[in-house]
Formats: sequence, C-alpha cells, structure tokens
Amino acid sequence: MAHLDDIILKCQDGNSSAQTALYHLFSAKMYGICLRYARDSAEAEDFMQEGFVRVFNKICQFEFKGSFEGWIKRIMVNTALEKFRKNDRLYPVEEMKIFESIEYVEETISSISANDLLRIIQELPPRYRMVFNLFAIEGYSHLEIAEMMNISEGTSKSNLSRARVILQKSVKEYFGEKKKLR
Amino acid sequence: MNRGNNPIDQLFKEKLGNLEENPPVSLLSRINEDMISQRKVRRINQVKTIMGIAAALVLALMAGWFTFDQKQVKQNSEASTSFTKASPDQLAVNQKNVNSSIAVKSNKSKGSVKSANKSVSPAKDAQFASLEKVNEQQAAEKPKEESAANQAKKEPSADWLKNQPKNQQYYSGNNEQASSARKTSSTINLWSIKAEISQTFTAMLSGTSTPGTDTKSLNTVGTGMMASYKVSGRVTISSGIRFSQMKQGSHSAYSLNQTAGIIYLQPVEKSGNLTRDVSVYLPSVSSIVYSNGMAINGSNVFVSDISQELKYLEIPIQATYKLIDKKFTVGVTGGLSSNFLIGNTASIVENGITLSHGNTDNIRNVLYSGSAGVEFGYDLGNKLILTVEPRIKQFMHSVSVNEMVNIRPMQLGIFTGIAYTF
Repeated sequence: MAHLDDIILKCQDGNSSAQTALYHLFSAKMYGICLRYARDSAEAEDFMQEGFVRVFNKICQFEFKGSFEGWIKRIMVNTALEKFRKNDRLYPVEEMKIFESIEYVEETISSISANDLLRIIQELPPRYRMVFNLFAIEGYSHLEIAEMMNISEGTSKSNLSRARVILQKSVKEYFGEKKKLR
Repeated sequence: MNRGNNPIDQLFKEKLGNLEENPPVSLLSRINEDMISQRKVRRINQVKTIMGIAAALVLALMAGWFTFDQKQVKQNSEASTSFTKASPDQLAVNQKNVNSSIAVKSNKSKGSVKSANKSVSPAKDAQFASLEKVNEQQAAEKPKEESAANQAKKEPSADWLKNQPKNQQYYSGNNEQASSARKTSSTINLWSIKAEISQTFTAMLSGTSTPGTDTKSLNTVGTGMMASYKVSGRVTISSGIRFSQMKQGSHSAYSLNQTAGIIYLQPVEKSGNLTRDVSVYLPSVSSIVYSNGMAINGSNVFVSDISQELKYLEIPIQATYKLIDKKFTVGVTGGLSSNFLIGNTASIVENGITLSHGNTDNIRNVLYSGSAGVEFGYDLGNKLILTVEPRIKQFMHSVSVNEMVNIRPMQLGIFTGIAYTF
C-alpha cells in the first residue's frame, strides 16, 4: 500500500515513470471493466485511453480518502457512460414492459468462460449493456442508474429485464441446450 | 428485480466482476501521446491567454495614454480659447484705463501748462506746446505697446515654445500654435517596432554528463518582435514576443547521469509500429537503459545518441538606457522575461537512424530569465534604424522540476534587427 501511495504521490507531481508504473498496476483490471462496457476491444481501448488520461490529469484531486482502485474504476465507468451519453441518440431503445417470467440456465454455468460471457454481453444493445453492467455487476440502484443515464427509473428496470432475457437467450443459444434452473 | 436472486446477474458478476485482461502493448504509448498532445494544447492555451492579456494591457495603456493626451489637449485648448475670448475685452479695458490715465496725465500737464501759461512768456509757451505734442505722441504709442504685450501673451514665440516642457509646448497658446507645436513634437519618434534575429549559443551551468559521455549544447536560432516606447530622452521601455530554443546532443545515452536532464524518453509509435521501446532512467533511479521493454546489462548496452530540444516563447520587459543618442546610438539594455515552454522533443539515434521520438520529462512549463546587453544602432533614414545587440540571457531556475537536475542555462546571442520609429 505504501508503495502504491508513493506511486500516486509521484504521479501527482507529474512523474512519467510513476504514471507508467501506475498504469501497469491497474491496466489489466481496468481493461476488464472497459471490455464489459464496450461493444468490442477497439472501443474498450478507446475507453481505456481516455480513462487513463483522465486519471493522470485528475490524480491531484485524489486525497487518499477511500480506495484508489475504486476511484480509478469510477473514472473508467464514467468515461464509458459519457461515451454512451454522446452516442445514445444513435441507439434508440423503446420502452418495454418488464419481463417477469425468465428461464434460467444451470449446469452450463461452471463451464462458461469469462471470455464467452464477455462476447455475449458485448452483443447487447448499448443501453441494455450499460444498465446491466451498472445494476448487476457494479451494484448501482435503478434510481442511481436513471440519474447517471438520464432515463427514468422504469426505463432502467425494463432495460435490465430485456437485457436479462437477451443474455439468457444468448447463453442458451451459445451452448445449444435448454435446462431449467427451477 | 432483486439483484441477489437472479442467476443471470450472479453468473455475469461472478465471471466478469473481477475480469482482468491485459491491454495491447501499444495502448500505453497512445495514452502517453495523448497526454503530450493535451499538454501541448494546454501550453498553447496558456500562452494564448497570456498573450491576450499582454495585448489587452498594451492596448489599454495605449488607449489610456491617448485618452489622457486628448483630454489634456482639450483642457488646454479650452483654457487657451477662453483666454483668447477674454483678451479683447481685457485689452479694451486696459486700453481705456491706459488712455484715461494718459488723458488725465495729459490734462494735468496741460492744466499745469495752461495755469503756468498765464505767467510764462511766449517762448516758454512754444516750448510747452512742443512738450504737449511729445506727450500726445507717447499717449498714442502706449496703448499700442500694451496691446502688443497682450498679443505677446496670447501668442508665445517659437523660441519660447522650444524652451517649454513637451506638454506645455502642446497646450500653450491658441489652437494653431498647439497644432504647430504638436507638429514639431511629432518629429520626436516616441514609438518603435523592431524585428530581430540571432544565432544563439547555450551554455549549461551544471555538469551535463558523466565522464566519457559527450554531451554538448547545439547552436539554435532566436527571433523576436519588440515594441518600444521612449519614456524620456534616454530611457526606452520595450516589450514584445521572442522565440528561443535550447538544443542538446548526447553521445552514449546509456551512461548519462542525473544532470543530463533526461529523466524519461517516451517511446512513440512510428508508422504504426513501435520502433523501440526505450526508456532512459537516471542512475539515481536506475542506471539501466531499457530496450524493447527489457533491461539490458552494462555489457550489452547499445550506443546511441540522444537529441533533446526545448522551445520557448518569451515575453520580455526590457529597459534601454542610451549612452550615445545621435545618428549612431549606443545603449545598455536589461530586462526580465517569462519563458513559456511550447516545444519539447527528444529522439534516440543509433547509427544515424532515428529509433525513437519522445520528450524530456519533468521540464518546467514556465521559466523566468534575466537579460543584459549592449545595443548599437545606426539611423538608416526613413525612420529605420539598424540595430546590433549582443545579449546574454540567464535562466533564474532549473529547466527541470526534478531537484536532481539543476540546469540553469545561459544563452548568448548577437541579435541583428531593424527598427521602425513613428
């Protein structure tokens, strides 16, 4: 931790070698996050590039309160969100009713690799992908998501439901079998 | 909607929540490039802002000076007009007084003559008559003298004008004279603009390399555009904008020490391919040169040359005191400058082939410097002056923010320029 604090302090002084060290420390985790929010690796790289430039530019604002990893992660997610907001008009999504009846997959779960799931999540429409990531993986509430994405809470809920349906269908199609969890 | 109960949510969170994936190697260099370009944009914006403020200040000063000038002209013109208007009446009164006093005197003398006449002989009478004629002539001449005196007050002579301070020259007398005085004064050129250029030689004040490493400063070019205002007979204040460079070449990059000024050389993509990932660390950090991201031991180092170049935009404030002010002028100059970093490039060359481009890290964005010189000028006529000014510039602090790198360069240039006065 002391090592990380030292790197952060050097980064705050604008030290390039410390910035490189910081990048090497967090690049894998942050690229993983970017891949989840992006439609492909090229877009993930864009998020990463813009996100890290922001990290280096704003690192002086980090006051060692709370987790640095959480701070850097939030910057990456916000970068992805900002990009989404810019392109949101390009991907209109109709309001949909909430799907209550969902079929679940079971045994396949353990055999699915992260890369397979990544491919599936990247195939989601941008807004569904965004809502699903924020709700299911980051743990934000629908109210928070609605504020972040400038949509209504109901839209967030319906987007999530629709995302779940699509994901479920994709997982099933991907593995070519249909087994009910319950 | 409960997040805890949904298996799809759980599946994705479990598998992707802590996903780690190595990004492409080139991404770091793209980020660094982005940072460099953003820094450049910020620097340019800073310089633009400062130049804008400087220009606004100069304009405000000029406008203030012009307004003050006009106000003074108006005030003095009004004063002169009221003086001119009052003069005829005043003259009439004066003349009346003079006439009446002369008349009284004349009458008195006449009376005395007449009263005396009673007991004086005809010869004496003739003498009195001739005296009376002289008195009358004097009475007639006195108003003329008074009037001429008033006229002289109204219209000061050219000699008098020349002997007056500049402002009084402008504003004394009536409008025609003020105008003619202004015309006379306009031949004294208060403003001048000058373009100058010189080859500059930079000397580093600190050691630049370890023994056996050849590091030397390379000659560069400095240019500038200055505006000057003559505040008094001998003193001129100048400001403007100058461009200066510093260039340093080092042989055997691997053996550079901390005073070489290179902390980190940023590898850059060249034509889509990373030519060589070269990062130079100083001995205080590490005495290793990295090549292709791998540390190389001392026996396996490559011999390469590093070239570094720093470009500055300088905003000087300079004063010149003229020791000789004739057709040939000599003056001493001194001033202070703010130097804004606008260019920072570095490259590694191996066997004549440039392997990597980048920048020198930890370079200070703004530097302050002092300068001193001797300016020689020769009046070419047509308001043009040829100037030659040997000038030394000393940076007040290190070019690097790194405490270990204490380089305060001194630059010498023989600036040749042409000034236009107006």
